[in-house]
Amino acid sequence: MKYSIDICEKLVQLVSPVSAEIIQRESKMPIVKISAQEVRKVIQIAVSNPGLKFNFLNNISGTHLTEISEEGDIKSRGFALLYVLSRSDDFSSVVIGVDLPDLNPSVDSIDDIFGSANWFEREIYDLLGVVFNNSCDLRRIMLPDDWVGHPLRKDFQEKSSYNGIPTTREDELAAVRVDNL
Amino acid sequence: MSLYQELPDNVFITSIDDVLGWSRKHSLWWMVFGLACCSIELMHTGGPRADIERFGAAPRGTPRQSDLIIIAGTLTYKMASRLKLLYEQMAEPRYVISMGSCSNCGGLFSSAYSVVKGVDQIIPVDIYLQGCPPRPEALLEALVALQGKVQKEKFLRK
Repeated sequence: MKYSIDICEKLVQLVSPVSAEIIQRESKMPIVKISAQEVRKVIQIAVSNPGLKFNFLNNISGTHLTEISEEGDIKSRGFALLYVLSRSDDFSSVVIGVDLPDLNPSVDSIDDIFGSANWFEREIYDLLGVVFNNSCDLRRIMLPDDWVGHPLRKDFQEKSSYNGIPTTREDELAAVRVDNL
Repeated sequence: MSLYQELPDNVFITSIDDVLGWSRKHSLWWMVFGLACCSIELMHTGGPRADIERFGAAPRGTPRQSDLIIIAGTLTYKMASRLKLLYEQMAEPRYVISMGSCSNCGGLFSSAYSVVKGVDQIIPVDIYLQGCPPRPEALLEALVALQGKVQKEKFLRK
């Protein structure tokens, strides 16, 4: 995968009047930052515009952003999603970043543009609790369906038991020694 | 002249318990239940170098034909209900070998949100086998230890 500032600038230019800015310009992976409402529009342009033609969705990743105060309290700063698109003619890639609020984070689904987006979106919903609007199938993908909570949130508190199985282990192994081998 | 001297050479006298234990311990059919990297060592144990079948332990694909279940790997909460269902389908008497640190106590994942902290919280375990993962020789030793336990059981008097 090749990331370059040129392709980011071209994307920013072609999606106007949608406001987009490039952050982390000096890094190996510059990010085109857009607002959460414009995700579908920007990705649609990145796919269909003849100057871009990104035809492959590499990844959608999600993070819960936090900051730790001097007293040690964890304060949530919302969620961040990164969409990594690439194309097969010159293998260049672009990263599109979105910030989501702390409370009820939601963003429009892109699984009608890329079918493979569904599993990424289900994973982010499962582990972080970000809701993807108008998704074709938004269920948990890895955890059991009756699971409560989203474990990759920094403020996730583990329950003391799940379906009667304790989630901690206090005692040593009750190992049985077989003496006469 | 005693009874032993009168008998021909190919007759010997023993107890029913010993014969039953001897035959049962050399036909411990085990269910394939590989969950993680321990199952790679489980496959090696079935291979030609370790060759678990020389102890009469044949791999089976269904719980209904198995006496023994070797739990090889990390058990998650989602898999726990399936494991319990499979264990309950096995005919009694049934035995469990918990293979590796993960199935013993959670092991490397003992602070993970999705991993059961020990198989013995769900089903009773006969042999705990340490290691991450245990070598095939260690699994053979666990099987031999279980054979010792089976031999000592009074099968008819249960």
